Amino acid sequence: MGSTSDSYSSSQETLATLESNTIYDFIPSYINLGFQKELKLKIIRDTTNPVVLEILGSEKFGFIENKVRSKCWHCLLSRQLRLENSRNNDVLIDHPDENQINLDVKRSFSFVENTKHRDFLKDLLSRIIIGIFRKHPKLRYYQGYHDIVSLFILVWHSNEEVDLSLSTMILSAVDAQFDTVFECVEIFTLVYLRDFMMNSLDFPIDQLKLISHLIKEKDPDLYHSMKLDKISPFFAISSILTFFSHDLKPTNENSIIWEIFDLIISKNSSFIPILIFTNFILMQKQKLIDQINLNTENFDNETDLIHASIQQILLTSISNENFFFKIMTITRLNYNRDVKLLSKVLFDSRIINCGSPLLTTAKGNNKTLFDTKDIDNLIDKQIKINGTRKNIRQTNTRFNIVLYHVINNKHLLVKLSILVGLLAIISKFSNRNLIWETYHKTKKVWLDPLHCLLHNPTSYLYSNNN
Amino acid sequence: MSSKKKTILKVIILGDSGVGKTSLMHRYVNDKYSQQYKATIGADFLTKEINVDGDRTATMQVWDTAGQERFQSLGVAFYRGADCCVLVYDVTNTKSFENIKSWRDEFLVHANVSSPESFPFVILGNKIDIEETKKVISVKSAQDLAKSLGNIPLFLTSAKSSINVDPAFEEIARSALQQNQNDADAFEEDFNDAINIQLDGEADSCAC
Repeated sequence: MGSTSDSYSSSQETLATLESNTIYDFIPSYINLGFQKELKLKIIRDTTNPVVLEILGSEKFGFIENKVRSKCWHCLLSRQLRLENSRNNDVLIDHPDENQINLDVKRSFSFVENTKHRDFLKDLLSRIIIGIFRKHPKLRYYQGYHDIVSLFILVWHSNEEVDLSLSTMILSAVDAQFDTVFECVEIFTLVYLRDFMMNSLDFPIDQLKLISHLIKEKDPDLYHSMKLDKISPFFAISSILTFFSHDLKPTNENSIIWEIFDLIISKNSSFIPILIFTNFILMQKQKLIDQINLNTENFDNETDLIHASIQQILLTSISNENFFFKIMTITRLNYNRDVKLLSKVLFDSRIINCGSPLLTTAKGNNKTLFDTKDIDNLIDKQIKINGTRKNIRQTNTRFNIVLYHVINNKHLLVKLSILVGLLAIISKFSNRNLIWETYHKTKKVWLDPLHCLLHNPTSYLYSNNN
Repeated sequence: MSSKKKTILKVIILGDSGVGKTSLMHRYVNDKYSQQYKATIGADFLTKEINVDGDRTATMQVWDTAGQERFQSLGVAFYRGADCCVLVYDVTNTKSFENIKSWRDEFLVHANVSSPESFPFVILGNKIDIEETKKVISVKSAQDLAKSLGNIPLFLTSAKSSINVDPAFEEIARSALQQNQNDADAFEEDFNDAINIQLDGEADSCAC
């Protein structure tokens, strides 16, 4: 354990030297970033081999710009899931979550300044999300899904001038593009987001626990000072549910969020968001401890204290994109080792459901090309497991509600106490002999049959036969 | 012992998605409003230093929660230690009004408060700036609901036009402070009881 944490800190120290350990390290480091990007862009444009694209997308800068990215994502995603039927326009049955979808679409793209363009994007967002759920009615919408779909839409529609002219021009071109975006969103949803699309948050909460497990493995001291043995890591819920797209907004082509999605899609790995969050905590260790100490006075319980401190540090980190670029470098650098560690944690903890994307992706070179039927089977399996767990939880909650009402309803509590007291008195005085006799008579049958059998087998059998 | 510690008032805002929980929090804490608040995922919080009883100050922690039903399972973690719970509905949305009672019950079941019958709630009917014809919840039915749930204070607010937000939060602060002191007193009572029991025991042993 000590060695992993040591090697982690040493890797941080040698960050600068190791950063060059990438496919483009033939480009001398004295060349400025702009030119490095330009060179990489040329290589990506010339690449037709998807395996090479996977490597390029996993490296620094990702796919660099949206014009190229849209083609790369489509190429890579269509190698991860083969969709049998294309978009189904005929489904008109409303999905039960459409009301919630509309509410969230309304408040999307707040960072897009041009209101006309914003409305165009919102319209597209609504059509895509509703289309996905009408086509896959078994899946449930969760708040945060709209952030991920918004990001996909911007890969194809970040240029407002083109969009605004398109919306009034060639409809067939708009439709063809719509189908491509839809297909990419659909594949991404089915391959990576299934855990979040059940009717409860149980599976994503399981995923959050992996962050605690990883921190325990990598930095036991921090694990204890953050009280991760006692509190649930709910502080990471929005980052994990949205793969960081809720907090890190794609305000321009250089935004870090693109690289995060480039890495997930290129590595075909649902581990990435968990690894990024863990690295964020480990890299901000000192700041976090300071913040927790600073906040101690202001919070009455540990859950609030840790949640609030992490939220504050996350907010300040978001405004510093350079810091997130460093997290990405560390995540790329340690990826292979961390995948092994996380796989071990997955195996040991056994908290992840057997249909989870965490188990069906991130297989390194042994990638699986799924078809619609495989995915359908996985979803059914997950819905079943989730349903069983939800039922158990609801039974517990119902029991708690009854208990709560009994405890807090003084009249009921008094009545129950009196009833128990009365029964005790009755049994003691009124029917003392009757109860005593009944007990002794029936003892052989219901209380201690084995005892009787051992002491007097013949009579026991005899009496039973009668 | 509790008098020296900083007074922290923890306030939880609950209600259906889109009723304006985040907007109300930002209006109160920062006196700002935006049409474009993003949906809350999990829980966010803001703090504000407030004056109580003239010269004393307290820190009010406002916890804003996600409205989608599934996020309630995180509530168990966030409701703990709350001093007041704010229930918000949208005056133009019947469903959000009908759900007020279930939000209250949900809170009481999970928050593990010491005396549920006296725990302070405040109801806010938000978005009253919207034109009359779109309003579907009458003042009368809101008052009836507030009364039926145990005379809960009711405020009709607009985070957008800054109507009634400050008076509502003054009431929230007042009842949170009251609750906070009740809990502190209860704690001290328990503490004294514990001492008394010990003393009783000693007295008995002396008598022997």
